[in-house]
Amino acid sequence: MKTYLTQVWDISYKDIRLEMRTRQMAVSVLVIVIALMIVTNLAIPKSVDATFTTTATVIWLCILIASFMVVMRNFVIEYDQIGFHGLIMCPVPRDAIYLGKVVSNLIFLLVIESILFPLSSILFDVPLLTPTVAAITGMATIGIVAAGTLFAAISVNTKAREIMLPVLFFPAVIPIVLAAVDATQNALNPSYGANILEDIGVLAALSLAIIATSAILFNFAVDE
Amino acid sequence: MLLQNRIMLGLILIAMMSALYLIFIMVPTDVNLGVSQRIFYIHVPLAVLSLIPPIIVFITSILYLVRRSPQWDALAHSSVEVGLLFTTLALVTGSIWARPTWGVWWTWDPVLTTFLILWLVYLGYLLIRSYTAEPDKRARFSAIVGILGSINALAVYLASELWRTIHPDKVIGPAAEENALDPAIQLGILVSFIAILLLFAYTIIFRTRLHSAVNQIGSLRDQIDDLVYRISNK
Repeated sequence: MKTYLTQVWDISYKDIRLEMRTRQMAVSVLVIVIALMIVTNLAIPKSVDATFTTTATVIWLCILIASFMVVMRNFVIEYDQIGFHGLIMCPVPRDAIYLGKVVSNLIFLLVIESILFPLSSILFDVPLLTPTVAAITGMATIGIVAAGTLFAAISVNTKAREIMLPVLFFPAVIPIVLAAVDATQNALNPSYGANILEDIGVLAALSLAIIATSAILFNFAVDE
Repeated sequence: MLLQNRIMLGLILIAMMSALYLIFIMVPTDVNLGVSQRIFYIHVPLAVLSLIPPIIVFITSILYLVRRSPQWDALAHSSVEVGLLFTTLALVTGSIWARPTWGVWWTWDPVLTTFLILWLVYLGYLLIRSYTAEPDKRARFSAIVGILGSINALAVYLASELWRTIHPDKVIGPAAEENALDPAIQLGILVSFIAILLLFAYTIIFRTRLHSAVNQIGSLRDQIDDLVYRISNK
């Protein structure tokens, strides 16, 4: 078990070290997502009296776009320089490669979210920095990244990878994004009287189901 | 044309004509919904049958990944094509009915939304096939998309059961109440269901044969190319 976890961490650490040396992905994704947040914020009419719903929707839209860019970039860099073929030939289980990629993508996205949430809290003037919102975000991000990593591994092998990833990825994560938006707006406004623990439970179950199915299917996706 | 094809097409024609006769002449007009309710005789079988391809795709995609037999890939591919056609028709007929009844062409009801997601998944499946050049990769990738997409389809049924919805209650199938329908309406739905089921089965069988033939031609072409290459290098 320890060896397996070490293999997973080694694969993730390789991606993290690459990003720390180049600092290409996190910065560019963050700039794009902040620009998107400002544009959507300006596009929403001032008269709209639904701050919690609007905030939750805009934040999850930004996270979805950020996750699309993160998972794609993580695979493209490696695939274009034939590094992915070397990774496949490593004497480690294929699902360890998948989980390693999921962990590195998750860390990148959590870093982006750790900047995005305080910024949104200021821009939208809503209390986003609470343990409940953090738990919801963590659970939903795991599911989104798990699905995105599998679809990125597939899309990168196709002729139109930039088109294929959103076509496959967005419909697959609609249930988890809907659940995350719903849970976030419930967490922002306790007067809704919703059971937040139940919302977090649903998100955890969805993420677990996605990660388990994707880990099995990844073995077939990279069966060179 | 094969004799069994002609028999099947003849049966579909008879069933379709009988269904049209029942829908437009025999069955009474609904007291509450009026004439627009007649589209249900087409919409309900289309929507119910749209839920069968995900089951076929799920099973055949797993079988393909385990056994790597092209026939399972051909069956999954055909089911998605027919599924896309039936889902499109179910969405269009439902939308035509919704306009006079709900006052809108579309509403973000869970059942409708999930059908739209299913439709998008089918499109994604067909796109990944057309954008992947190598036959082995194409079949593997589409099988993975097929398995995940089919799990998504399960949400279609669960959504109508669990989430609050404005979609009408089920009047046929396991979740229907007893004696929910007039006998003439029941006969109308039954005959149009049989007609559309025959069309569904025929299209899947026809497309599967076509895809299998295309696969065989492809592998024969590869063998010929291989042979020509060996002869030219002697």
